[in-house]
Amino acid sequence: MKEGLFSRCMLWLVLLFLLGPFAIVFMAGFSGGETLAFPPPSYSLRWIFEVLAADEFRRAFLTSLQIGLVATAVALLLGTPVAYALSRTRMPAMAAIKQVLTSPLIIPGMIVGLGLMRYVVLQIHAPVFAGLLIGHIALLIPYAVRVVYASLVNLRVDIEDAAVMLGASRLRSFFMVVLPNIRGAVIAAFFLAFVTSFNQVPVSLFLTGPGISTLPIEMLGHMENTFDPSIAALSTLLVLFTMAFVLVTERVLGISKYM
Amino acid sequence: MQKKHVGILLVMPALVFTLACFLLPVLALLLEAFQIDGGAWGLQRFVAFFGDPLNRQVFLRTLRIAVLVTLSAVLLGYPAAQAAAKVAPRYRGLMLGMMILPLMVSPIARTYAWIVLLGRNGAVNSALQALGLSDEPQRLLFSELAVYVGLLQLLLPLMLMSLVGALENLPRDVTHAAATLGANAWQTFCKVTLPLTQEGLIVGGTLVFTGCVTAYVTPALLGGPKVLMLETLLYQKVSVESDFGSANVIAVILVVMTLMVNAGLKRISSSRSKV
Amino acid sequence: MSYLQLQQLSSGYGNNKAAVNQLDLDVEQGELISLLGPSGCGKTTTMRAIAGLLELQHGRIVLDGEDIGKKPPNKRNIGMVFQSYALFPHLNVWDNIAFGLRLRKVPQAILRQKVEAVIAAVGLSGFESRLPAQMSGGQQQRVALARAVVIEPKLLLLDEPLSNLDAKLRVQMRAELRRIQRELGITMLYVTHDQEEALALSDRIVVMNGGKIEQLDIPETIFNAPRTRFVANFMGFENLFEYRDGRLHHEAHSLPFGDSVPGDTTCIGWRPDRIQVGAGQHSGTVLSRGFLGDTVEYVLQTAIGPVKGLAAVGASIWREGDQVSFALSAKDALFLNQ
Repeated sequence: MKEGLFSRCMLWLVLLFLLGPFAIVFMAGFSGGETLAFPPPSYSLRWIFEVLAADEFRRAFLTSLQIGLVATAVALLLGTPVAYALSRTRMPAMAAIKQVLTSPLIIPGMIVGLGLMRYVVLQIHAPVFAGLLIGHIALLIPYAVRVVYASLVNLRVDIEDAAVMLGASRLRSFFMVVLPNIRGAVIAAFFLAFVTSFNQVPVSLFLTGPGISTLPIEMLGHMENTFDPSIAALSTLLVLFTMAFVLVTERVLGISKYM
Repeated sequence: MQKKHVGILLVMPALVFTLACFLLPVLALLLEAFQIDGGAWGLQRFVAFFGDPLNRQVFLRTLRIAVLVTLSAVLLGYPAAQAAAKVAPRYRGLMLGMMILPLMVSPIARTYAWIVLLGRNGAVNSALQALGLSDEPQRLLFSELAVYVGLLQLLLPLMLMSLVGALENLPRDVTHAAATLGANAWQTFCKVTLPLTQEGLIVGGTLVFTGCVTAYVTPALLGGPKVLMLETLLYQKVSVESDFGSANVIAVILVVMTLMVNAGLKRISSSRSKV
Repeated sequence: MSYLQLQQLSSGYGNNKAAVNQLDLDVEQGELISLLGPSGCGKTTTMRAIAGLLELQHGRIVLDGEDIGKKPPNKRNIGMVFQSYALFPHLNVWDNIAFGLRLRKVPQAILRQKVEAVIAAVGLSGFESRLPAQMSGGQQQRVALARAVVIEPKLLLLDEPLSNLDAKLRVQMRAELRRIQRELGITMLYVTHDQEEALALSDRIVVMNGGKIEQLDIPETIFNAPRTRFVANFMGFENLFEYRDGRLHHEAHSLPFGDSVPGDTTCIGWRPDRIQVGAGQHSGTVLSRGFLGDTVEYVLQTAIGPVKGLAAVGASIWREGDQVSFALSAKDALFLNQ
């Protein structure tokens, strides 16, 4: 069918458009040259090694990792009870609460970062790390709530009643019966939130400080001054890492059904 | 009743945190834009902001690029999504993975390819010179075109996923029914597919539009200080010029724009009377 | 004193409307009592209030001499079987059944003994490591029953446990339930909207309507001698007419009914199988005709509205629109004064 052919061509074009750049980044990352000449004059692992050895990148990577893990864990701790309350109880003002808690998805990140820096960090003289953490947690809560809520809504309520009638308190019933059955969603939420935090730029822009920077911010700063393939190499590593991540979790958990 | 109280207790921590560490600081920031020296309220700052032609230019440019990118995303996304929705179940996971993957990768990495392609020594320039179309490297980076392309590549997956989701929820055989009633491909699309997937289109469009307006990394890397968008302008005002007044104004503009688009979306989707 | 006493029990879902209003009920130990009625009559509300899953708005619940109204549901030692079984999807049969015993910290050896015994009792030996998703409806139901029974509760509540099973399985499971109840001597409260089920299972039936008890009696009495119009209608007396001054009334019309009736009769009713179509002093027009296998069911339009009666297959030659006579005899009638 002619229409089918046109659609399929567009699909291939679009996929090329979306994924082609990754190929380009790989090629640039494995470049052996001094500059961003493309196509690269030669190929080597030189920039990959340089980037892996660089102190500032390693520090920034650790910071991003720490922030990502802690912020995600806290967001899940705060967000899971919310998802439970929204799906199980008839709350007054439920719509308003949902609005407030998902507002971080609507407000541009840079404004959040700026606001936090000026009104929270500066006011209470909080350490930079704390400021970053707070910003990321606020950003991640809606992800946690959304994904866990979607799973809770599909879990029947009567199994909790059954656990209660067999002798468990409501709290124990949650841990023994609800949590094991939403485990997949919680893990999916964890991955999603972690990746969001790791790649975050706008919120972190104003919240980083001397000595403490997240990896994306560090990369941006580096790009302003140098024009060598080091960032390409770093990007290559990140992309490979993300690809492996997504593949593994899709294979193991079928994450796409939680999106 | 007991249950209601438990519900409030469960929601409290997240709510308090979000209010204290997010909403209140943001609100304070936004309110500042309406305050003028002396503690009074007024719109002077906004007037001053739009009085500067550079600011106006940035504002209009942001809108312009956002609209262009959104339209392009629709035009490219629809046919691609239609094909994607028809993909055999075996390859669906792979297809979804390919569409989701870009979203999981840092915007820096994704935008980087364009720097490589459009830079002075980049692929396009090399090709142009090799083909004899120009003698010296063209300035392709740091242009609106570069920002447009970069943003399109960044945000197209959002449109795709929304549309694929909407297309998959089309009642089965609806297009076949239209065909048996005599409609050709174009008519079927206009009268059946389009109205039924309207919501996916609107959701996708909203995501793309707000994504453009609130983008930072791509305009920063591909537009630079010469081609500013609202967020890069904001950053410049704060970190370079320490002009917090203007920064607050920009913040208000950004928030108003995103809220309006989201409110518009809600109104349209609720008028569809979905359960 | 009765084993389970409900005294002026009121409960419901909103703040205003009580779905069950000041209900009184006494249940003896070892009895199987059914709460029977249409949806919305309050039977499930009553059950959930007894379980503690719904708050008591008013009244007392006394179980084995103890007022349990204020006790949280997990401390009442009441077993419950849910309509949709509510098996824990992440646990296999063994762990589902052992759940309550583990919470009570029963020692491992005794736990194993009890679980094995109950699995054998419900006929599921060999299924111990199956997950709920790998079992049929009937099997899941038996696991749900075993799980509730193994904790040796004082009272067992069953909320329409068989309604999700197909007809044949339902009859089978019904007999199983009755057998197990008799063997263990457990006091059971059974909620259903299916009158056949209630009649077959129960020691006594509570017919409910609008949050109140319409009639409480043994199955034979409920079936043959309902006391109110609602119960009569529910139990199959499809022809119910007002009676005044020697006539049967329906809206503006009436038919004479000369036979003698008890003094305070306000309503007379017949089951369809007690109205003979083909002979009698009344007549009507055939509205519809339905073949039932060994009889034919007729709905007739008469002076007092629609009347449903039966005729033997051989004798039923009338079609829609035909005039046919029918008889209303006093000896087959039900006389109501409510």
